[in-house]
Amino acid sequence: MNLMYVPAIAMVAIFMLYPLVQGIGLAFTNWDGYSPTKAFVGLDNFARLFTDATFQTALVNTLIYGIGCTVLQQVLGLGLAVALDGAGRSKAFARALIYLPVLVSPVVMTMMYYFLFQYDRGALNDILVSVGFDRIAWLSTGPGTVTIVVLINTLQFVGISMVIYLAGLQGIGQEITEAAEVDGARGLRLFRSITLPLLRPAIISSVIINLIGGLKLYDVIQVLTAGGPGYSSHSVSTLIARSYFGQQAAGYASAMGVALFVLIAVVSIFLVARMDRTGKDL
Amino acid sequence: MKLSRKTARAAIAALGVAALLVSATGCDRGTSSGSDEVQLFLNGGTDTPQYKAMTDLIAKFKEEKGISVKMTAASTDYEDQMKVKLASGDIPDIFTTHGWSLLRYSKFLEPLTDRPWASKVNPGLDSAMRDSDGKIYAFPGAFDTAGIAYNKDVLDKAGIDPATITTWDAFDAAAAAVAAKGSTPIFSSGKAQGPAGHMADYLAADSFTDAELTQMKEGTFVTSAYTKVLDRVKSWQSKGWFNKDYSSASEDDMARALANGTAGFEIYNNNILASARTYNPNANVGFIPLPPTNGDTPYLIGGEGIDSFGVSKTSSHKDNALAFLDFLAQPANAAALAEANGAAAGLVDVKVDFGKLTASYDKYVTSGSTPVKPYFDRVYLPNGSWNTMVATTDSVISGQSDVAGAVAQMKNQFATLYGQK
Repeated sequence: MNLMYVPAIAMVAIFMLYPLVQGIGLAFTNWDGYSPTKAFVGLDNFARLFTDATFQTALVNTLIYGIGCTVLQQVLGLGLAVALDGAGRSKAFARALIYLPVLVSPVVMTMMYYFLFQYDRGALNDILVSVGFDRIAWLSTGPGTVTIVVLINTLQFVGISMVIYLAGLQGIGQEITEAAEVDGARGLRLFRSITLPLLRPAIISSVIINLIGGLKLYDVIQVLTAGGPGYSSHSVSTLIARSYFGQQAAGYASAMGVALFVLIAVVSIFLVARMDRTGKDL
Repeated sequence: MKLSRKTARAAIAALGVAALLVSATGCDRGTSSGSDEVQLFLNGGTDTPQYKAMTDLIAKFKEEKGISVKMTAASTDYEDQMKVKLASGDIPDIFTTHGWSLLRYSKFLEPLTDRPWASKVNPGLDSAMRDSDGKIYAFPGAFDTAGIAYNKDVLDKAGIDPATITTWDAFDAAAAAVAAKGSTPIFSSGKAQGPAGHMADYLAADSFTDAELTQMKEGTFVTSAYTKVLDRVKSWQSKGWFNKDYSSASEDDMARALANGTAGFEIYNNNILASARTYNPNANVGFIPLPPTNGDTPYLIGGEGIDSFGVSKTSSHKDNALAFLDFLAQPANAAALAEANGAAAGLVDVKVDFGKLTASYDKYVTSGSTPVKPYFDRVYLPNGSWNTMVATTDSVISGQSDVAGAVAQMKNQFATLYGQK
């Protein structure tokens, strides 16, 4: 056994495995989150997940955040990568500019967007008023807020997809493109039949990273509306925090956490398996 | 000496693990074992008047008694941080109980019934702070009283005398008059995750009959009475009386709206009046009692203020911590704390300067002419209901849920939490 693994294994065991096992254990109790005692309640917390309309709303939102952000990030990221691939100062500057938000804390980024979407003193509404329109309460409905959350998260992290696709594009040998062009492939045809298939590993890497990030989304929602109006923009992550601390349902929140863990694990395993297969195909 | 590759690897791995363990020693439990300092965990940031007042009092205490108190300020997530501390056994010697000294924290706190100031606690706090045996677990630094905050200039413009609002019909007529003049009748905040709950809490305080309150205490949720609370909120929502940016407005926006005269009323705690004055020192603001729903007398809501403090029963500095609470209870010190809160004092022998709010306090609080009802959730709802109360009321105001759905959600949470008791 290589002993150099020991510190890393110890870190994972202490900071990931131990909390995971503890969390799974808590999901079978009715612990309130702070009292010295807790009672075993079997599968009650898991059964409640199937009847809790709030959890179901949060689950649907989580899928919207995960899938919506991922799809938008792939489309935008790939488009930007294709447009900004190659040498040149202006392209390098544009790439840096688009990647810059990735380096900013999502809390700070969302606060900036909050100032944009505010009803009073919000930049968007000030612009609307200046051109003769009425103010709009952008964050007053569930669907509106969910859409804005998807947009904010997408715009912040589109730079990651762009960088992955740029790496993928630069890994495609020029001889392959030239050979396709000799065979008569041009423009969209070249992109669809040659570039896109060769980008499959990059696509799967980008999808996995974005999907997991979207499914775990917390900070944008918390800063923007804290899950409101009502419960309408909660993700499972924000609802876990709300249930654990606010509603003192640590056991139930843990059951939600286990459900989210299973969801992300299934999606990740499926995509990693696809990636493996793709790698073997190439 | 030349180490073999295997030995070198083992040594590096051992060093890595050792570094990990050494770094873990930095995770202290926050308690003061090994030090004479009393640890105090305050519900308030370093920029709050409470923090400043407490800093001065701690310095004065050190000068008089020679005992050091180390204060830690919390963020807006004080309650969450406190729950984590309780769960991990990392309990400060003194901590803010913020309305929960009885229901949530009493099992962790030293009973304070024998302290010299305990007999002077305002009787209005008994229902929220004393258990069935009369035991009290916190020193009440403030007696938080609240009603309906208003901007007098806005009401004057609408031709309304706030003193005449003694029924809900009169309130609705006043709100309609304010709306007709282009101001927002009722300003609140969904983003702040609190004001909606306060609104429901204040309305609920007089929406239940005595028999229904008994049922609630015994674990039966009275749907019809709670429906009355949200029906009233819904009627205001249907008339478009809430601010259009309700969902995204913050607590600062509430203070600003009251200060700048864009809002007529706010149903929230009286701290909002002090905050409004930070935006506009000349803001013409005050408060009135809430009109009755079941009874016939307007009432105020009152309870354990934000600056109430308990002593951990497992504290290793219990004597010094108790001495500090006794020091805080001295009239001049208690007055300084209450004034920092913009609230009445928790002890009856303490005189507080309310500044420009003196007229409202004199008329409704100091005179004792207005009955004070306890915060509904602290007495009649199981511990942990607050967030659901906020979210369900928020759902009605924002139109995300109808009244029946919101009430059903409250009932469900009530049953779940009551089952955990």
